[in-house]
Amino acid sequence: MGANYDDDGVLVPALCLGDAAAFEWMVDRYHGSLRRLALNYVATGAIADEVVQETWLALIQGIDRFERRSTLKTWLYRVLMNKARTRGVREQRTRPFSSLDGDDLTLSGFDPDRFRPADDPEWPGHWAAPPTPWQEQPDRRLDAIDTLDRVREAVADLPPNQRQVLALRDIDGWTSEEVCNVLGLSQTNQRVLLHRARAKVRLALDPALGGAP
Amino acid sequence: MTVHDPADLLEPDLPCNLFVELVTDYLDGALPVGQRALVDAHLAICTGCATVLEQWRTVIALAGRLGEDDIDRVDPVVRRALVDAFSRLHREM
Repeated sequence: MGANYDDDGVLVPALCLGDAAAFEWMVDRYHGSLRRLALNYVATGAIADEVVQETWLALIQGIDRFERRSTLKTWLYRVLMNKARTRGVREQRTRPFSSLDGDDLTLSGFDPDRFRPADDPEWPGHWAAPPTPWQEQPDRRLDAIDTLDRVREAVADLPPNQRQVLALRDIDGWTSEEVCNVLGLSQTNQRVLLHRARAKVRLALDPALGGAP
Repeated sequence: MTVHDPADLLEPDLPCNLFVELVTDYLDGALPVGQRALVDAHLAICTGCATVLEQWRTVIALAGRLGEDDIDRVDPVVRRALVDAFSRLHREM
């Protein structure tokens, strides 16, 4: 059936012509993700809802002038970020993207004691206490509801900058280029934030899935 | 008598505590070719690091499932209002 709206060459002209199906496709696809992103900047869900609606209105009003210097998706998320940041400042709840988040974990979330010391005669830096594979826990299903709940909680507990990158990369499945583009990050910074975020989610899951202490 | 493959002596094995910092770069294909080859060689012989890689993949897969959450779905009333606004604006133009 329908047109391939993944292609901006199809999507943008359809929107300009008033194709409601194209607009519905965009709302269904991006609304939740836009709202999640907005919540990193503003104080309440109600304000996040307003920011997302303003973003959609900006799209409706601006689509005729959209020049396709970026993808429509990138443009949409940039509009949202600008609006959310402005609102965040106004609400005195802004959390600067680069702010330190008080992390005291190693980057990858492993205790340094789990590795042999640097002066180990045989295997310096290799595992002293290797991780326990999760899939070998027959009584625990990885996709069980409580496992997903744990993931959800771990993501919610992340510092906003890490949560934002993980949400776009791993929840929404964006490429690193898209994320860097929209959030204004270097590839290196983006990957550091993502790595820390994944490390913390892994750490939160490990005890429940039978990992070694 | 032990025969050493000269390659064993030339190629230092990647330490596990370095691999765990590189997992995301590795999965993103962001490592330089030489470093990637070292990681591949290390993964072939180190079950601990292979476990870490597998767990990283599991974390990514599980995070992907959060996108299916109900709270992510747009409220039907809001959706309707947005689509109406879209259609209205186009009638006016």
